[in-house]
Amino acid sequence: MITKHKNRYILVEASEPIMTRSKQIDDEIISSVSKELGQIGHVEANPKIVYQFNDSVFIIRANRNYERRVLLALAFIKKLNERNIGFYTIKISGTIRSLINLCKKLYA
Amino acid sequence: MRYFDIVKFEPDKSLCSRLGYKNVYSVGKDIQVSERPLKYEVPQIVISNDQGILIGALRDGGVVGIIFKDNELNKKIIEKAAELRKTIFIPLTGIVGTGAAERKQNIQKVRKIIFAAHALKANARIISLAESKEYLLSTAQMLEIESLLKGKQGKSIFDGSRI
Repeated sequence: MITKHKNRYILVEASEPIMTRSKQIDDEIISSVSKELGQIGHVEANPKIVYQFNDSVFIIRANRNYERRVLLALAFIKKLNERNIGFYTIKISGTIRSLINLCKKLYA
Repeated sequence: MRYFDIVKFEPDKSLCSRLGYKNVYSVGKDIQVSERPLKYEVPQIVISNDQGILIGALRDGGVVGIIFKDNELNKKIIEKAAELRKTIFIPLTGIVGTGAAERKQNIQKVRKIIFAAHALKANARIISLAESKEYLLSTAQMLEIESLLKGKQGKSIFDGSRI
């Protein structure tokens, strides 16, 4: 039987604009998250930036049941590329569409 | 929204509302944090690891709570705080703004304080006490850190919208 792979989406706001549209910065964010999660945690959670609303707001996808670990990992990241930065998780949702709608409402 | 936080800078109101807070108190404006009880017009929190100072602070009417400096547990103080119904504030600066090794130690220290507070029926409350906006945390992150620190035992240490 094929089981559907379920995800959770996390709306994240950075304290500073970080140009998340560049692939390099995306990789740096994910590698910082992985550093906090550890190798096994990274494989389990499989975090990935799937949507960028603007320079400081983006959505991370993570495997269901592991989204809370990603949320904690984001709380512990305070430096990115030698720059002081903080990541705030605004909301967790089961669908990306609801978070995009929330983005439009909050940051319009 | 039913949460509050205490920070060491002037927070942006729209950001605080996006993060899910009803009130974010600023140290120096809405509340004072000092090393001994002094006379202020605003509520005061005393941070110290001296037993005499902390007991004196708990008896002071203007003091709303205390902070254990360096998260050093003192059960006598916790007993007194429970008796006088004052809050033990636990800043997360030692957990969030540090490296992995130091974080582990601080988590253990904070856990001891929380378990002792639950056992002695004292009020404990986590606050970010952020020095800049990078160290501010959203309510979702605070709730997650709360469950990391206290597990499922005891009452919430992040509830309430006012000091």
